[in-house]
Formats: sequence, structure tokens, C-alpha cells
Amino acid sequence: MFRLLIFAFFFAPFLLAENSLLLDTQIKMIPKIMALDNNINQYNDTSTAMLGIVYDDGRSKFATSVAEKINLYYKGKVGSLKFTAIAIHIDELSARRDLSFVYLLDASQSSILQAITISKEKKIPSFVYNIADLSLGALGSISIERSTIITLNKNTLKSGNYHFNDALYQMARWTE
Amino acid sequence: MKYFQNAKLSTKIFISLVSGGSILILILLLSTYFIVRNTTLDAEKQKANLLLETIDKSVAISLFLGITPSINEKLDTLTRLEEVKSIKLSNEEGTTLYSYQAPNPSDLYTVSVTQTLFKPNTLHPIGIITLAYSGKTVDETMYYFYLLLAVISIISIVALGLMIVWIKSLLRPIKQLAMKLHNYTPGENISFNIVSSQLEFLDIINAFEAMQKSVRNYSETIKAINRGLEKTIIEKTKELTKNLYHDTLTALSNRLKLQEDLTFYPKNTIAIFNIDDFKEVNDFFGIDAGDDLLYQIAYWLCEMKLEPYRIGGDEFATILPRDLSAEEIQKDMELLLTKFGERNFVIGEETFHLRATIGVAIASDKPLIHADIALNKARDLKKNYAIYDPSEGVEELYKTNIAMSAQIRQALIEHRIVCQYQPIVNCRTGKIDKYETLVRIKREDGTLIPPNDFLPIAQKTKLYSKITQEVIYQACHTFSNRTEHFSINLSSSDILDSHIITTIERILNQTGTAKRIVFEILESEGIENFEEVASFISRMKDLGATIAIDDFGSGYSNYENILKLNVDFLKIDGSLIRNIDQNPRHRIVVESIIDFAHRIGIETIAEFVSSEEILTIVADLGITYSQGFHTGKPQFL
Repeated sequence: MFRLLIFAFFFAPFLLAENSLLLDTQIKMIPKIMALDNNINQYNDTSTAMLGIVYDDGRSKFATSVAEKINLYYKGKVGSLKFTAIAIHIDELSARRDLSFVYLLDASQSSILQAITISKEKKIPSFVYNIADLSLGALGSISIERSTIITLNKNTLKSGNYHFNDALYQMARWTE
Repeated sequence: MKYFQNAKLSTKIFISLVSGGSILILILLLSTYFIVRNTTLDAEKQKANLLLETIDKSVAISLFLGITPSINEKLDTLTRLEEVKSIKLSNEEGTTLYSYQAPNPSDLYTVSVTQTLFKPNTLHPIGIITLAYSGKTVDETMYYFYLLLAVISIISIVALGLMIVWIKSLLRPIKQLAMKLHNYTPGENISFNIVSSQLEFLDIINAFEAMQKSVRNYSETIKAINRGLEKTIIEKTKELTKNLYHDTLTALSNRLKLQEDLTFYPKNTIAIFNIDDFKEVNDFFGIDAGDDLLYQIAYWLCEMKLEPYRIGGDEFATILPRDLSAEEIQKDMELLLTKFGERNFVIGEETFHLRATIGVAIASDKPLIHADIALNKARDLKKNYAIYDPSEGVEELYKTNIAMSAQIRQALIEHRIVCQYQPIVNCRTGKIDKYETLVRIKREDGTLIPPNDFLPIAQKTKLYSKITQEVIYQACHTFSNRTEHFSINLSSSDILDSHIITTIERILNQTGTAKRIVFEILESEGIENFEEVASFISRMKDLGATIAIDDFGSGYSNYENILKLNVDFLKIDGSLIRNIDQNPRHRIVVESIIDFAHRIGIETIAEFVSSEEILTIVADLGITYSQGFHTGKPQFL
């Protein structure tokens, strides 16, 4: 038992490791999806939108690296929208009021559920790394099949009163 | 159709062009109309489809997500377009989610397109959107089309008008040609100075000119022939006129000329001069000699200054001065006949004296007829001349004869020739052994015409044979049902007529009366035509018939002929019997006849037995049968 706990302590972060191709794809597309949010227009010229990379315990560095990678890739701007990606721990999520969009890295279901619940309360669109987590109430996820697939949760979209550009709707796959 | 057939050529060409052109233009216009309209409508439809395609996906997503404001917002953007006349969106259950109707849908045409909305990225239908797009462009296009059509129509009408004028001007040479030819007469020279550039008309004109030349040549030829014919006709007419009015033998005027000359005055005095026994001259010396003689007579009459006409074979006539009295004429005629009798006429080397008879009509309105009557009268009276006397009623007698002839003919047609039968009584037994058939004509009122009134006329009008046949038919059929003998009178014309003999034989065979019939033949007939009568008697006796000689003793009775003819009865002439009781000479003759009859073994019949005294005498004399009013009048059986 002890051995098992030791193993879990050391290897738990490695058990949550993301697929690098999927991750790259997602971190390239998430800002673009965020830019299609009609409610973010208010940040166009005067403000900077905040893209929260939400992580669970033990994954701070990885989340930070993801945020840096996004910022480096987009150089703070996607289209006409200025934004900054930052890493945020799940526990900090409820306290933050400046987030425009959250991207949940792989985490435990409870953490994911927690983060989704918070983002719903704050009316912040939430995308999850793992498409299976859409069932927990996340707004969308990106997966790779023969092509890149954006999947949106219809119920979350309606209940959260989110408004994206129709282009997103037209290219998305829908789940309820 | 009939009007078209009878229409002018220009009208036909015009109607044909208009009909053909109209059909062609109509087809083109209809094709153009449908092409323009459908093309424009398709363009508008494409526009409408494009318009729908701009919003259908977003509307489908909004519908899928149930975002009604978003749907309304998207569709409202379309309603701002003037061309959008109505929009209707309904979900898959058919519930209308959005409906828009433009305030004034005044367009004639609208294009309606419908698209099915699908769930994003699937083929699952979630709604239907229908958009009605304005057909204003179509209206405008069709307006211009109709405008163009009106312009084309006006231009066409003007073109048709011009076409009429053009066709008429093209065909004008034909009309001019027809007018020139309308009153054309052969030989006339028509100048065809018709201006036309059409090669066809020039060909026609050339053909007409050639024909005209040909007709002119023929006309000249025909005129020349006609002139010759006219000359010939005039000569022939003169010749015919001469022949018509003149006798070719004597060159005297003929009967026709006399009739024409007699028309100048209402009454004329003429004399007809007939040569006596001229037929014998012809028969003896020949016709040529007769003609020569006639020429000499004509010449002599001319010498007498009589201006004669030859009106028949040996008849000449002359018109006498109208102021001559009957006595003067009588004197002139006597003098003329005397001179004629003294005149020597020559045939070959022979010299002749001729005689003539003259008939004269004085101041007569029918001089030829009356002179002819007078001539006949002179012949009958054996006189040299006679003058027509109206009081003698000869003309009335002719009229009576004509009327009787018609009456006989009508009676034959209407079967009014009837027979009565007079009994012939056996003097010894007093019984009726025979009947004599007597013919009558029954008038329409039922009265009877006796045979003496019509038989002589019938004999001269060839109706006698028909009467004989009728009598034989009736008598034979009457006595076919009786037992007595019966007699029928036959004339020489009957006996000489083979058709009647055949008829008699046929009827006798049919009725079976041959052995009871007695044919009565006049004694005189047997003498004049002995051979024919003997042959007839022989044929009848072969059938079983018997023969009686009628009116025996009236003429120069020839006993030898009676013997040769082998007759069965002698009917003693009534003139001998009628006064036998008072005239001893008649009695002697009758006794002689009876004696002759007894000696040769034939029976006798006495006619005209009109009293008991006569009957007693004839019976005492030994006559076998008696016939007369005393023993029995003619009656119908």
C-alpha cells in the first residue's frame, strides 16, 4: 500500500500527460475560437482579453508553458483581438474576474467539474482538453480524427447564453 | 375557302404571305416569349436561392440551437431588401417560427424558393424556409418585350400594307394584259406596250404577240374562205330560190310560187288545167316523151299569154283577171279548150291532139282548193270544165268526211265498234239458222251510226281493215258460245290483205267457229280480183268455212265465175226481192237465179224480206233462207 502511494505521488503528474499533437492543435485553435465569441468584442481596442489555461495540482509549469506557447505563437493578438494567455490553478478560478475564456487542461474529473461549474457561473466559455469531459458541462473541445473536429455542447451553449460567430457553429460538431 | 379560290391572284399571294408570315412570327414570338420569361424567372430564382444560401446555414444553426432572436435578426436582414416579398420559416413539426409579408406585393411575377434546413453537419432536416422573391425584373423585362412586340406589330402592319402595294404593282401588267385582251377580236392588232421589268411578264407578252400574229394569219385565211363561201352561198341561194319557186322541167313557176302569189289579194280567180289521160301517154311512150309533151304544153300556155304555173304532174294553173265575170270566164275557157284541142303536139315523128279538163274558182278565198273541187266535179260529170259553186256544199262534205274519219279512229281506240246480228231464217222450217254480222259505231251517247255512214270513209282512210278485224274478233267470240251459223261481209281490200287473212285464220282456230262461219263476198269483187278471191275461198274452205256471194244479181252476173269459185250460198240482191211482189220482171230474174243455184247444188238467201207477202213468195220460189226486217231486225246478242 505504501509502495502504491509512493508510486502515485511520483507518477501521478505523468498519468495526466496530454497528447502533444492534440495539445498543439488545441492551443493553436483555442485563441481563434475565443476570437469568435461575440461577447468579447468589448475588448477589441481598449482592453486585452484573458485566456485562462486552467490546471490542477502539480501541473503549474506545464500550464505556464502552454500559456507561454500560445502567447508566443499569437504574439498577443488573434485577428483584431488582443489577448493574453495565463495559467490559472483551478482553485484560483473563482476569484478571477478578468477571464474571457478558459481552457481546461487534463485534470481529474472532480477538478474539471469544479472548473466548469465556476466558469458557467461566471458565464465564461470553457473548452476542455479531453472531449470526454464535455459531458461534464464544458462548452467545447477539440479532437483529431481524420481532420480536426471542434465539438460544442449545445446545452451548455444555450444555458450559458454564449454567442459565437456563426462560422464556428457551422464548422462545429454538436453534442447534447 | 370558296372565297379564296375565287379571289384575285394578288389577294391569294397576299393571304398566303400573311398566313405563312403570321404563323412564322407567332412561333418566333411565342418561343421568344417563353425563353425570355423563363430565363428571367430562372435568373430571379437564382438570385432568390443565393439570397437564401446566405442565411440558411446560420438560420439552421439558430434553429438548431433554438435561438429565436438570432433567427429573427437574420431573417429581418432579408426583409429589408425590397425584392423580398415574403419569408416563412417553419420547424420540422410544421410550426411557423417566422413569417413576413411585404406590404404591397404588386409585382405580376414572384419567384418562390424553398430550402430545407438541416441540423449542422448532418442531413437531418429541422425546418423549411420559403422565400418569395420579387418578379419586378421579370415584369420589367416582359414590359420591354411587349413594347418590342407592339413595335414589331406596327412595323409588320406597315410592311403588309407596303406588301399589298408591291404585289399589286407586280401584278399590274397582268391586269393591263387582261384589259387589252378583253375585247380582242381575231385579226385585230393589239399593241402590248406594257412596262414591266419582270422576265415572266415579258415572256407572256411575247407569247401573246406570237399568238396574235398566228391568229391574225388564220383570221385572214378564214376571211378569204368566208368570202368564197359567201359567194357560193349567194349563188346557191339564188339557185335554190329558183328551184323552190320554179319547175325544173318546164321552167314555169311552181305550186309554191302560185300559193305565194295568191297571198297578194284576199280573193283570187284561178283555173286549174289538167291534161286528160296523160298517164296513158307516159305509160305508152315513156316518161321522157311525157316530159317533152309537158314542156310543149307549158310553152303553148305561155304562147296563150296565160302566165301559167305547173302545180302537179299534168296540172297547170293560171291566175285569171279578177274583174272577169263568170260568163266571160266560161267563154274564155271554152275558147282555150278548143284551141288546145286543135293544137298539134309532137312526140318523135308522131303528132298528137290532147284534151284537157279545167276547174275554175272565181273570187275565192281558197282558190286552189275550190278550183280543184271544180276540176273533180268536171271529171265526175264528164265535162270539159266546171266552175266551183259554193252552194253545192262539197267543201262541207269534205269536212264531214274528215270528222267521220276522226270519229272512226276514236271509236276504234275506245272500243265503240260494235256488232249487231240480223237473223237469217230457214224458209222451210221458219227457224233462225244463221245471223248476218252488221257493224255499227256506238256514239258516246249510246246511239248507233249505221255502216253506210262510215264504211265508205273508212275504206278511203285505211281504217277499214281495223274495223274488219274488230268485227271478226267480236263475231267469232260471240258465236263461239252459240250453235248458229253466222256470216261476215268481206271487201276486196280485206281479201287482198294477207295480214287480215292470217288474223282470220288465227281467230277461227282460237274460237273454233270455222265450220259455222260464212264469208260474204260481193259478186263484183269476185269478178275484179278473181285469182285472189279464189285463193282466199280455197284457204277458208280448207278450214271448214263456207262462202256466200252477196248482192248476186245486182250487176252483170257471171255464172261461170260462180261455178269456178265454188261458193256455198247466193245472196240474191235486195233490189230484186224488195219489189218482187209487184214487179214480175224481178221475179223472173230471181227464178232464174234460183234455178241456177238449184242446178249447181247451192243454197240461196233472199235479202230485204220486209213483209209476209214477200216471205211467202220467196218461200214458194224455193229460196232456202230469208233475211229482212220482217223475219228479224239486227240485234245485239
